Amino acid sequence: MGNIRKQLLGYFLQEASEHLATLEDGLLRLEKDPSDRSMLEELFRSAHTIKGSAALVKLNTTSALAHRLEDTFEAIRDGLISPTRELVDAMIFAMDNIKDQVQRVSNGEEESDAVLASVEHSLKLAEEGYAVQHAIAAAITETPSNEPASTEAEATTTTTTTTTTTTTPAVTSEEATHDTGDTLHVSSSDSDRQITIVEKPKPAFHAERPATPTLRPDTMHHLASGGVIKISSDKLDGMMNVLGEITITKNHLMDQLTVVERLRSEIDFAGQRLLREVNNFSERYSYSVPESVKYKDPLLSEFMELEFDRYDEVNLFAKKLQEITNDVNEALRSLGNFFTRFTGDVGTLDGMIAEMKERISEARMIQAGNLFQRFTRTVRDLSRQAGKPVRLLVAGGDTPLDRVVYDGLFEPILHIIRNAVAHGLESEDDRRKLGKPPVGTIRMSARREGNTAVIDIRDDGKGIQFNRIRKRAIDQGLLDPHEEVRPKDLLKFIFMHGFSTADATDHTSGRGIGLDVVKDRLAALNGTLSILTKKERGTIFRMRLPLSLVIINVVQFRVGKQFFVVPSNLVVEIAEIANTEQRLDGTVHIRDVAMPSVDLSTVFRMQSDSTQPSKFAIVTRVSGTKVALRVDEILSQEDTIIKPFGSFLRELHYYSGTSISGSGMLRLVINPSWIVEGGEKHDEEMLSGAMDESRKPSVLVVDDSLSVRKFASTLLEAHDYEVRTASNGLQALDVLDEHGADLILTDLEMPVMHGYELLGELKRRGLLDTIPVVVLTSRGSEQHRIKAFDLGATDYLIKPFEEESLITTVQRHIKDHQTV
Amino acid sequence: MSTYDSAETGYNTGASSADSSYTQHTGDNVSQSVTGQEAHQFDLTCCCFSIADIEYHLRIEYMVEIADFTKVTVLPLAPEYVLGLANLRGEVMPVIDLASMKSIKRPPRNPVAYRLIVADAGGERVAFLAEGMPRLSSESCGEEIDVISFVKNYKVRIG
Repeated sequence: MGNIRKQLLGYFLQEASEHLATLEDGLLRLEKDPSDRSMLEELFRSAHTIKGSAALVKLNTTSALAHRLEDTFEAIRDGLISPTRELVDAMIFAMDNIKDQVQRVSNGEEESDAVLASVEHSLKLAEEGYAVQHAIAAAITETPSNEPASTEAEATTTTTTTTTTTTTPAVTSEEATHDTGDTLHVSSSDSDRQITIVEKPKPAFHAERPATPTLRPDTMHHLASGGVIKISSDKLDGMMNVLGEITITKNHLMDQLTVVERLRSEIDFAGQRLLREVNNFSERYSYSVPESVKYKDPLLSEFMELEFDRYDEVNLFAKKLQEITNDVNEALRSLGNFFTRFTGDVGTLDGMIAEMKERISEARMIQAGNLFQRFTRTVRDLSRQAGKPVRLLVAGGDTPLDRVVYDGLFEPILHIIRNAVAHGLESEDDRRKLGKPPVGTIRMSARREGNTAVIDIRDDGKGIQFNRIRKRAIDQGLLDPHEEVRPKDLLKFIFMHGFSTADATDHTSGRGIGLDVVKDRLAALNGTLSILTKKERGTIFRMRLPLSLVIINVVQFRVGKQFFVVPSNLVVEIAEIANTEQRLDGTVHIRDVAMPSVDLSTVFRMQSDSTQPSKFAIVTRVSGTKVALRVDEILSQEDTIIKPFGSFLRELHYYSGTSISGSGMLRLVINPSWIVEGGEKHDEEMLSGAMDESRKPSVLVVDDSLSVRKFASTLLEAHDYEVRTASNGLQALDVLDEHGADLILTDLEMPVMHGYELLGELKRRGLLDTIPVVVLTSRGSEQHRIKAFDLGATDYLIKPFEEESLITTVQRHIKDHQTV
Repeated sequence: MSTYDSAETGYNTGASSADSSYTQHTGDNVSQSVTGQEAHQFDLTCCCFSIADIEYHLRIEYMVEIADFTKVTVLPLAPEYVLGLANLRGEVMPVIDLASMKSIKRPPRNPVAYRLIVADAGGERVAFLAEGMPRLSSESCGEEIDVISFVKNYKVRIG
């Protein structure tokens, strides 16, 4: 059985058990009150669903049985026949047989089509008004003889449901007993009027035969125990919330622990001092003869002194003090041991809470593929409406997304897709003229980067048309017609409320939701949106979102006297910056890289802590670009729950909510994208790689040999390529994260992460679709070549290489990828 | 506010009550001055409070509790009438200063002189700053705060 079928079967078994429960419940209600038709539609639908999904997993008997039952429901619904008690019995008989088949499949056995005839027969008789009991009785006795070859396996699973009004149910079942060689016992089921005849499992001496399934009511239990249960997401959310509270209490405990640790060392220190002093004291006085005793009575001088006589009160006190101190010392040592163990336990608890969070988060996760799948139909419809052929490609469908993210992303993605079809993709004719494939492509890909999910929606259309944005901005009075604006500054306009470049509202776009809303939705999910667009090559909308929304890891910091937190997934790095490092234009230099910065005390109009010689920079990624947020102090990193604002404050976009610390302190959760972009700073790089039309194509050379890197760089730079280098796969991934690349040239044998691993990782991230990878290696064997191509390499060059062949290969692949 | 000025209660701003004997108790501790039988019919319908010497009332069904003034976390960039956020037993809510909404300067007072009137606006909580001790009354007094419309009309809009 293939893996896919196995998975499908799992889904079917889960679904079937639910629908069988519906059938059972409905039939029993129908039996009680034949005039109650309210559940008929539901019964019909359940039978119909079982039929369809059973056929999908090639369970033909189950499907046929459900089909037959569906026909009967339909006939009742349409008023052709009425649900007599006999008919209900026959239907229950049919349902039990479906259950039986499902149970077999669940146990890994094959279906048995022997029951088809008897079910058909009993339903037919009942429909025609005959007493069904005879038919069922006959069916039980006939089944084995009808199917002699499979007597043992099949007959063991026959079940019948009948009523107490039945004339001779016991006789019937006994007949069955003789035929199958099994023992039967009669047990009453939920309904008083009903007796279910259930077969006993095989006795021990039949152990060599396959175990016989126990049927109703245990059947449902068996079906449900297939390893899958359905649980309402509210329950998971509830668990997660409790866990959030536990996390906060745990944080409090951890805070207290440091206080206790300090107390402990203070006590320890004081204890040691006491001990030292007492020891000194005791040494001096325990055995010394007090002055008062030194005087000797001449009359007594010849007597030997008794030892006790030598001690006076001071000696005794010193002795006692030493004993007590020893006790204290012993207690201190125990206390120390206790604290060590206690700290260890709290640490373990911390670890377990983290794991619990991970597990519940996982349970809440939905694969990105499920989200993408919701758009296949949309893309098809949009393509028809717009009269442009479009295909949808999906990658990284197994990337997990939080359910809240999943729910919240549908509309933003829908909007982006509508835009792509309406404005991005050209008509078939235009595409032909441009030498593009006539069918436009929309690629949706998802990948995981640390605790962040990255979702790309990419089209291969004409890219964002800056002249149109410019024209519309001028029309709307947002831009001076004579003003020269850089393309990336023009992009800001498309995030403005009510800004659309579409000439008229049509089906595909202009439905009132704009990119401003998309961006706000993402901000509400603590995510960011960035756009990469190239003329005639298309646009990528990149969304970055935290993997879990309920419990989130945050960095706590201070500005002035107030405390804030920022979600860690938005933080790229944290650096300490001397006050002198801040330039007048607001840029800061972190490891020799200049980046725009925003002083939060200025944004929040707060009194900054000017006494400190240095500040901290929280480097965050806003719309794809790094921006440093200057704060007074970094305090801690912790897991916490973020409570979003209610509607009264929801539009205060500078924050995404509040978080309460372990000690009960309220902290505001900042929303960097709004702070940076709404904070009246305009020189920040809002959109990465935004439409730099004159940009040179870039090549990333990955090789552990310095000479190869140098040689390839010189060669490629001479041909007007921008070259970046990395000495192993891991470094290459960092460079890619930072700068991207139009082509990767990689060696196979490298330390840390070799070429195959790099290919695998690129594939996992869905980057192989967009970035061609050329392997450049000294390994010439076919086996290596095949492996590289299997992993998704675009080309394979062998060292030593000809300059010309390297250049033509690079040129060709970059060109190919530009047009596809 | 008009939505809640329904005739069925009869206790509206400035409107005379159905039973005139109650009206004279406005401003006093009403429960003291009603007889047993009267108390039986007596319904507290409003929470009256004042800030900067202006009286307001909140219909009792929107009121959650009257809390002592607690530490308010400043909410930078919020409009002036949002004093900040209060954390009442884990529930975080904005604290609204009706005086600064009317651009009236409050003389500084000791925090113990203030109370927070916590109101529920359809599942969302807001707290109003009140001076002195608010009182529950059968009579409306001053301006009515219709919490639901208040949240809708005065919600913070930035950008």
